[in-house]
Amino acid sequence: MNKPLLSVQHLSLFFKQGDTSKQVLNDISFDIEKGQTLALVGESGSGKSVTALAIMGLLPEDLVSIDEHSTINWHDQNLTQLSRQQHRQLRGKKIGMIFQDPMSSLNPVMTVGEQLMEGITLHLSLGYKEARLRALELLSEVGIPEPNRRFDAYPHELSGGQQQRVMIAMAICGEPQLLIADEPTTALDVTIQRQILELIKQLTNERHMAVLFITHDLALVGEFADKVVVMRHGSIREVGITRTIFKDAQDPYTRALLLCRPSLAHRPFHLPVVEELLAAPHHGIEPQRERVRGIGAMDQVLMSVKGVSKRFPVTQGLFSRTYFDAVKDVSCTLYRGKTLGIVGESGSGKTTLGLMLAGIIPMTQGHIDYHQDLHNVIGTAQLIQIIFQNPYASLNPRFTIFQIIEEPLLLHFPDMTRQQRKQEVERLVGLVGLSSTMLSRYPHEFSGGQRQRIAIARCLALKPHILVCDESVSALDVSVQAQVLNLLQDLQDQFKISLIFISHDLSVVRYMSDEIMVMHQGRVVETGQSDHVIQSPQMPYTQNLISAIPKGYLL
Amino acid sequence: MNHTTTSPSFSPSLWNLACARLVRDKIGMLSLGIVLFFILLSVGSFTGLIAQNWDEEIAVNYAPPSFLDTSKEHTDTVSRPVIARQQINLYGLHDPLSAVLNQIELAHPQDTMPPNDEKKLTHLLLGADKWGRSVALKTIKGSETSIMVGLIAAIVATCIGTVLGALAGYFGGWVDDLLNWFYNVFTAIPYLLLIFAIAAVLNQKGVTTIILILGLTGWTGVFRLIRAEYLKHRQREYVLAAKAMGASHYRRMFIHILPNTFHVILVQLSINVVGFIKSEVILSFLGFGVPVDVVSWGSMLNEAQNELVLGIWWQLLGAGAAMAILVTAFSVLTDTLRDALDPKVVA
Repeated sequence: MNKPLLSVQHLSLFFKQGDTSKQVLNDISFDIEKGQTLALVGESGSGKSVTALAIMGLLPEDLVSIDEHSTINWHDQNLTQLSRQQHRQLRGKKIGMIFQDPMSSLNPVMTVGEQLMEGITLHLSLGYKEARLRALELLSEVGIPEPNRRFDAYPHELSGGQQQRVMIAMAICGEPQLLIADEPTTALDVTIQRQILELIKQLTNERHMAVLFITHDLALVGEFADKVVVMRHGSIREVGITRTIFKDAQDPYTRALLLCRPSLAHRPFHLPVVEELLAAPHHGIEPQRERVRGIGAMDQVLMSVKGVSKRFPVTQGLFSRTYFDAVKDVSCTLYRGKTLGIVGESGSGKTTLGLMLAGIIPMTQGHIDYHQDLHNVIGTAQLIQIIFQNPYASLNPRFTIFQIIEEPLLLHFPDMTRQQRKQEVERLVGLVGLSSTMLSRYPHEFSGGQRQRIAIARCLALKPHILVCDESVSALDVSVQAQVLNLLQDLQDQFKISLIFISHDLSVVRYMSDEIMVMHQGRVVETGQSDHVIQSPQMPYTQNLISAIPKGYLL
Repeated sequence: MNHTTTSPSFSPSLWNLACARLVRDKIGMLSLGIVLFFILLSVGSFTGLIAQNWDEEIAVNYAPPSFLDTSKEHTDTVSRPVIARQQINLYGLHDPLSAVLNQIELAHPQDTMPPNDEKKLTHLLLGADKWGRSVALKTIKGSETSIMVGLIAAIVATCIGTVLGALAGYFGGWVDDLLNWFYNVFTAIPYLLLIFAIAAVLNQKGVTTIILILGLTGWTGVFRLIRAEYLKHRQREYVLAAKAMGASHYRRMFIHILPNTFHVILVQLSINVVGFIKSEVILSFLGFGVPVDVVSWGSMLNEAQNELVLGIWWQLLGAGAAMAILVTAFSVLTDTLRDALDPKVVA
């Protein structure tokens, strides 16, 4: 029988906090064969990154204790027993690693070539000239165009995708047998993500290298992983061959992960939620009726945006300034009680457009016409509210939840008594599914999904006619994302709010929207009924975007 | 927690939480106690309740602290006036008044004789200065000036710096340019020259002048840091959310962002208190400080400079120890406050 390349056996790991210790990993076991790609999938807090760091020996020894029965076997060595010195010889040379954010993983004051050569001279003991040649070879191997010119470029001069390619080049420069990729594409756009995944796949085939691929997105790994390990709360839920995981998952949690992500094919009335699926009997839950989305002839135009542009001045030197057009001549319409989805990659101007529509930044050009019913609220906060992407930054850390939700009431309804405000806040908190016993707590005590609910409750306090959701679910785990999307749909059904839903994730936008507008470099590429745009995209850019969406396991 | 007591203008629950945490922190409470004790001392001496008689020459000059036994010095000091009287004829010249004076002295020994040294104390709790005044009482009296100068000037400087920094960082644009220009002008002028200029304009000596001088010159560091904090925070999503909600500039600046800069403000405040107590020494040395008839820790340290050569160290001990204790307690207190005001820090 073949001996596996890396074998993790009964790995249990604790974080020490003073006298107490918290178990982070509970009896993790898996093997990686030579040349195999193993995907470690789990939501935040599942322990997937900690597992990778434990293999690399990068965990701080004074804060972490590994159970004595745990073994991580690499050839004939047990990695848990290695000294720092021995571990260092392994890292980079035998096991390479790439991280999530390429921008912060590269040193901004060193050129790409210097950083690459640092690893090469260290691991391969080559002279300057050979090392340079090797570095250029690596750069062209990872698909950097004109490697000779890029060699002397600084990281900020490269795009995000190119930076990640450089990171990969650095990780493979010691010709490792195992590459650990920790969420390598999460910070990248979908089209770039696809390119990077293909690069990793190609490298593993050429170099016969094993890959430990860590991600939160189960759909992503279907196309190229050989084996999948699903983790939750520090334990393994299911291990299996990719095909089995996708076609015949045994564990309800794995099934939930697959189901709670909106797909391009179906639009259930409610997205299934992990808790529901875990509690459900073995045969699963009842199939949901489909929700109908789309603009009909009866729908009223609530807001029509005409020729909106935004130009930012960019100062160059002391006196001269140039301009950057973030949004160029965008027109769109929003119907009452409907959702306009805006989709685009980073730099497409979708967030700038959202901020302009919400009245947070002024427009350079263009104007917005509102339905006559709205004329008495134009210019007030009751017209339009916005929910931001990062639920960690959009709540003031020094305010209690009560104060956060109470603030719009204080500002806009000065006649309300304290008792009335208290009742109203409790009602709002109930609407978004939180308990009113949590009101005296501070934002940091809540999870990402709960914080996003608080932000939604704050917006609802003003009973706005329009709600802008700027990447509001992008920072959330898939299971939490489903809950927040369900909440938004319920609120839309209940209050007939019109939503402007901005996201880079086409499947989420398609699920939420009646109409979709695709943006690229500040311009509108394509607008249309959402199902129509997804099923028969007219423009090449849209087609490209749709084909880059991870499809899960295809057979 | 009582969250219903939220008032529109400020967030008492943050303060409630901070107080609750402060009470739990033993070292913080101790330092709060020490700071309060010093403030009480200075208030007491200001109102004349304690240390009212600090300028009475109750002991022999340079009387050592009472924990030192120096009976030899005791005899020396007592015999000195007798020697002095006889020295008048040293140059062989006749003193025409001596006979008269001697007569007067003999007739009214109680009135004209300088206070009899034998009645003065030879040892004091913390020793005596060169006029025989109690160092302990001087230290108490000196706290009045030093704490007033240190605390009030630091508060003035921190307030000016915070408000200007908030305006510059929050509004940016020409407001920022203008305030930065003002800041650059202020920092470009040498510090002492600036102090001379302000002193010349104010044209009077006294504690108020020192507070004004230090307050008006000391805001620059705070300004720079608070400006940077505001630059960072004004684009944060919670501030944008407040804007979308219709919160005014004032509300965003002082109710949303300000509490998030407390850590910087408090650290700067405590650094300034320490710095200003020391600055008062320099100002006194330059003659812009307190008048000669007023005592401060600064002037005591100044006197101690010369006395140290003679081996007289108790004045330094008195002022130095008081200053060290206050300054340490104050830094610990601001540190505790900073933690207490941050809801994220787990107590």
